[in-house]
Amino acid sequence: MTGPSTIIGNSSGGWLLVLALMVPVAGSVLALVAGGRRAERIALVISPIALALGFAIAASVWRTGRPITYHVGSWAPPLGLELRADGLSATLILLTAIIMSATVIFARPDFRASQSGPEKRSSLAFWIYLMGLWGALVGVFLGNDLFNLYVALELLTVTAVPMVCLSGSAETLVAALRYLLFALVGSVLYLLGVALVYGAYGTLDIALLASRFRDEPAVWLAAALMTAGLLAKTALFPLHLWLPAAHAGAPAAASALLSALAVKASFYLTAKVWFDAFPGLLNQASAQVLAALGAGAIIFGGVLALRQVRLKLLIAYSTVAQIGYLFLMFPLIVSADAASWSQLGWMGAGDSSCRTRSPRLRCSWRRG
Amino acid sequence: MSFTTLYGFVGSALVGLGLYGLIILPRTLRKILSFNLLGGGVFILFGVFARRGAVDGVGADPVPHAMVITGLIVAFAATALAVTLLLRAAELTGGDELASDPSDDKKDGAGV
Repeated sequence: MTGPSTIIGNSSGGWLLVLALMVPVAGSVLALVAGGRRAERIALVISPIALALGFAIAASVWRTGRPITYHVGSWAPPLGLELRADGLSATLILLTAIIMSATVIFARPDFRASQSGPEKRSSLAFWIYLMGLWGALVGVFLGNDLFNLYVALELLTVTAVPMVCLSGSAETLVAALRYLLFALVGSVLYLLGVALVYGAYGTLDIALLASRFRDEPAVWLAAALMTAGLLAKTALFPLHLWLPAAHAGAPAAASALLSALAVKASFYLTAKVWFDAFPGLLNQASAQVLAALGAGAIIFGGVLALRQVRLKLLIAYSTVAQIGYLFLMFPLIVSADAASWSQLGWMGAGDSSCRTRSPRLRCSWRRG
Repeated sequence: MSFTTLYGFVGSALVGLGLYGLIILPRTLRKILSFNLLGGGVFILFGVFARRGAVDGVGADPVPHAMVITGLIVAFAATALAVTLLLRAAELTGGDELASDPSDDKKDGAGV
């Protein structure tokens, strides 16, 4: 058992990671048990706790300058699973917590259970899915094992898809079904890549893979399959077909979560596969392919957004374009020094999620 | 041809069939079935890697078995969700084909 992660072991503050993952999941399960009349209050209690945890993780990583790690059951990789929060994932966990907390506050009028009349389905379902999505996102950002990440991605799918069809109309059901099919194909292609990686190297821990992989066809095929699957989930042009109908049909608060957070998880994973699991594998030619798709998304999404009449469809096509900007990152990082990935990652995360998202959230809420 | 090679080919063929069906077949129920075929192919490949052992030369590796079990549960639950959505959508619209033309989006999403 060699490898960097076995030597470091649990760092102090590992319990923060466990809590950050468990609090939203526990809230989701509790809400299911407690019923629609109390689900909203559970979300109101959960979100400040998870927000504080997000701040604590970010502060700890910021102060020490070292990632927080936690070995589940004290089993170090390759035998066990590792949870890990480095600078980028700590930032994303904090951003998730901020956007989620804002959504909880703004969604209250729409999904409040009436205390006297009959209980509505959406007032229970929305809060359960919101907290489940929160847990899944934290799982994606903390995971450091490719199969563990697959499970977190699937959890994300099954919580994000029902959010699309909360209203229950025929159009939203069809949109949700299309989203589900795209997401499932994406997951299963990712899983196929995971299988090939395991067959070739006998480990799925990202830190161990980074030291074991060689530049050979197996790893290229695996990385290509994972990328294709993740692109379908991120809705990068030309795999964006599911996104406009799904995001436009969701209730305003839900579509804010879907376009600000849900599609970013698989983008984060794409970057993690190429830069953390297989560092140095991505060459300029293949990075340019990703960037060309991104450029196509910017033009296509931008033009279609301008032609929309309804605000929510305009926002949905604008999301398609925004995702394109994220993928311009790949050739920039490849041409820059490999060590600058972490800094670029920091800037990219702050830029896309803070500056462009906040006005968007506000305008979709105002309409809803 | 060894057993593992044969099963590897079977798994790959299932993956190819499933992908083909998902892209080509227009009806949603067949797409869901194709997804299951594709998933089955992936699970067989996991089985092949378990039998062959990973690079360390450990025969009969149990780790892929654990992953297949998790994957089966996820695929089963996802299929149940997809079929439920499909049944409800078919009840409301009377058909089971997804409109694949994105220009239909203009009609969508009135339920805010």
